[in-house]
Amino acid sequence: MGLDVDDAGLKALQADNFDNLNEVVADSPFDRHMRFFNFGYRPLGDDQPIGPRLGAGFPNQDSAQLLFQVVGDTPVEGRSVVEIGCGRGGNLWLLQRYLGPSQVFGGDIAYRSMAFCRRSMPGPDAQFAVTDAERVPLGAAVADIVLSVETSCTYPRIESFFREVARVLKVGGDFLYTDLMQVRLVQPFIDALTALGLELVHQRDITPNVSASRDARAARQKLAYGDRPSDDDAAMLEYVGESGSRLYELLTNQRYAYTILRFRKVADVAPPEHDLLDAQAQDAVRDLAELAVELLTIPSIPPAAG
Amino acid sequence: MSDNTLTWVCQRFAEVLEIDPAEITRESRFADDLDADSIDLIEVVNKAEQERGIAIAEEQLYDLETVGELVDLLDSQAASSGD
Repeated sequence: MGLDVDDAGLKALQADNFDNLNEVVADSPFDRHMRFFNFGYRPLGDDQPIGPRLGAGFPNQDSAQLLFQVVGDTPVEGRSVVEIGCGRGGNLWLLQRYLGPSQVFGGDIAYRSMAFCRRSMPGPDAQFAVTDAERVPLGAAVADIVLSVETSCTYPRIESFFREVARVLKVGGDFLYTDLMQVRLVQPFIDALTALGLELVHQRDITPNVSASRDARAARQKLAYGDRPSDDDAAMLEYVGESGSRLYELLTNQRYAYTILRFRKVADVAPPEHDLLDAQAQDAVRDLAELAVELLTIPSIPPAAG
Repeated sequence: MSDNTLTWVCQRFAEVLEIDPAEITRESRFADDLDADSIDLIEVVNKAEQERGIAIAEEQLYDLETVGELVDLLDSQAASSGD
C-alpha cells in the first residue's frame, strides 16, 4: 500500500478527511440534521426494525436501526456509555433520546465533529473530546458500555484500540462493536478481545442488511452533501457507500463482512505484553486504514497547513 | 391560516416530489402515501424558513408522520412568533 506516513501521520490525514467532510456538510441545508456518517442497516424479508419507533421525518433511519441492532437487548438505562469514534454524535444522541443512559462520553479524532457534538448535545450528561482511539483520555474502569460503530477500520493499530476498550470498561461492562472487517480477521479480533478479559456474547454477520441500506439510500444521501466539484465525485461516492465505490465493492466481495460483535468484560486481566495480533493481521489492518484515508480524501479541499 | 398553510405545504411537496398537488391532503402520510423521506421533509421545512420566516427546530420534525401534522406545527410556530 502506498502512503509513506507513520501512524500519527495516518491518523492526522484521517482527521483532516472528517474535518473536511464537516466543512462540506456545513455548506449544506441539511447540516444540523446530519448526525450520522455510517452505512446503516435495513431489515430484510419479514424482519421488522427493532428499537423505538421513529417518525417518518426522522433522518437517517437506517443509521438509527444500525445502532439499535448493535445494542440489541443490552441494558442501557442508568448506565454510562463511552463511544469511541462517535463522529457527529448520532448514536449517543439516540441513546440519550430513547434509552436513558446516565451519562455519555464521545470521542473522535475530528475536531469539527466534536464541535458539532458540543453544539447539538449541550448539557452536563454529555461530554465530548478529540480522541485518538488508541489512547483514550479516560481513566480505567469508567464505562458500563463502550460503543464502536463503523470506525475501527480506520485505525492503523486496532489492537491498541482493543486494549483501550478493555481498560476503560468496568468488569460486567459491555463492548458493543460493529464494523466492516476482513473475514479472516474476525476470529483473531475475537481472540484478542478474549485475551483482554472480554467474553463474546453475540456475533452476527449483517453484511446483507448494510448493503441493502446502501442500495436503498446512498444516492439520496449524496444529495444531502450538496453540489460538489466533479473532482470530489469519487470521494463522495465512498462516503455514502454507493454502488460503484470501492467501499461498496468491499462490502459485497465476500472477503469482508460487516459484523456485529458484543462482548461482556468478565475479568480484569493484566494486559498481555506480547502482540495479540500476528504480523500478517497487523499489516492487513494497516492496509485497510491506509485505504480508508485514500478513499475518503476530498480533493477540492486543500490539505491542512502544517 | 391553516388552509393557507395547507395549500402552501402541498405546493412545496408537489415541487419537491414532482407530483400533482391535488394528490396531497392533510391525511397524506409522508412515507406510505407520498413516498417522501426525511430529505424531502427537510427541504420543505427549509423553504418554510426561507419563504415564510418560520423556524422549526430539528427535533420537532422527527415525530411527524403526516402533512397535517406539519401544517399544524408550522401554524403553531407562526402563531408563537407573533406572525
